[in-house]
Amino acid sequence: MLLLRRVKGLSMTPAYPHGKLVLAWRFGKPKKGDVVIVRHHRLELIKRVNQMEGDKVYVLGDNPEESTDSRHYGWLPLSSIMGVVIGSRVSD
Amino acid sequence: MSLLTKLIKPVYAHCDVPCGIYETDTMRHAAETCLKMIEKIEALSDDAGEKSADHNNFIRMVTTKEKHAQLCKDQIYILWSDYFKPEHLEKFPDLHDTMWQAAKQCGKVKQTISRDEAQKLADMVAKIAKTFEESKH
Repeated sequence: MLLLRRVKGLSMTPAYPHGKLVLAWRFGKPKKGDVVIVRHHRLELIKRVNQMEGDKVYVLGDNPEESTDSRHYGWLPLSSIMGVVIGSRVSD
Repeated sequence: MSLLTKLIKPVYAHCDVPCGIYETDTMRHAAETCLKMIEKIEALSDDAGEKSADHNNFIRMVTTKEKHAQLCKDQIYILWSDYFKPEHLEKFPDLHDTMWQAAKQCGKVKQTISRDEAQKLADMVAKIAKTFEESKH
């Protein structure tokens, strides 16, 4: 199943700037370096997988100065990953 | 952005505090306000409750103290959970205790009209502000 989302915020610049549309694929296990949509505190976040260990994942924003990520909330369960980003386009 | 695009559910590439801006001025101001309110409460005459205007002032002072003690606590929590990182803990080993005690002290200031407790909070906040400044270098 595919998820279509709109990036809000600056933590994934420059690759995924504010307003960019992203398409994510729900199935399959993410690997290090993948950009993922992850659910945390009822919010859907877009971050990059930095480390994987067992059933836990450590995610970081590409732009650390403007990102709240695993540095703050720690490891997330693998089950919180909703999809791996497979494509994107700049919205008009 | 087109209307159609706006309808697409957002995914957050965010930081909790806008763009990594953290500061300690707000918590310092909040702690100072609590102290000031206690001074004003103490300055009220003993029979202040008998006059409606004084009674009104008293309630406003307590409400302001309550509100600012909570604001101070919120600011402490934000800095503690979002700004400070493990590397800071290595540099400031008593960081967790400092933040915890300061958050608790906000409760003390709510519960009492003690100038000493409010001054203690102001001192704790000053210490946090100093740690915050040092952590940036």
